[in-house]
Amino acid sequence: MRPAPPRPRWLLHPLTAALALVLLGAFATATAVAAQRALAVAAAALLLAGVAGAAAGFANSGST
Amino acid sequence: MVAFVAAVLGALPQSLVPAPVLWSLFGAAALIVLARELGLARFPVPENARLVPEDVQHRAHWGALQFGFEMGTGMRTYSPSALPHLALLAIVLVVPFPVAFAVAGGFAAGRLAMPLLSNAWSDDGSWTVVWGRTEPLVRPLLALTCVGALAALLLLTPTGA
Repeated sequence: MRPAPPRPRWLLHPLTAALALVLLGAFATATAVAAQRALAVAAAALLLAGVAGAAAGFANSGST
Repeated sequence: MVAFVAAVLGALPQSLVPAPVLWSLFGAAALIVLARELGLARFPVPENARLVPEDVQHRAHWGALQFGFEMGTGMRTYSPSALPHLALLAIVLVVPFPVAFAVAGGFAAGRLAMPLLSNAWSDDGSWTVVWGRTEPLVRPLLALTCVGALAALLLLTPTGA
């Protein structure tokens, strides 16, 4: 029986999580700038708020 | 729940104080927090520097809930970063009421990410070592992301409501 292939650890790295938040924030900003419908702007605003909150929450990781 | 209370409290200044004043206050606070997270300034932030004892979850029927509440709300936990304080200030001063819940949801997801990533990384807690090693790079990145996202959010909601 072959051993299970190792999990790609870079996906679990803190830097990957931080970069994912940067990309999400950039995506939300670009969407808000390019959006022509109010609904899209509102969705982008909610995503930006979520990214800001997630960055704050993840930055507190050292506390646990 | 903390976000809800902050959003309710924030309704007062957001309705009474002119938006440019609130933005200026928040902008100044954001710059100070950014300086701290980038390592340019050193100052303590309000925190209840205690850990929730493990036996809390066994004390009563709702022990697990109490454990999560105390840790999640910061009643009994450390705060190595000032970004949670900035997010809370944003909710009070500039973030529109409904959007506060998106900030809170994101915060919860960010907090949840750490144990999930740590458990998936290994069983020996070595993710914390990796975190400690990359912290000098990750912490400023998260600060710039948080402040940048809040700034973009403010530009999207120019009336502050």
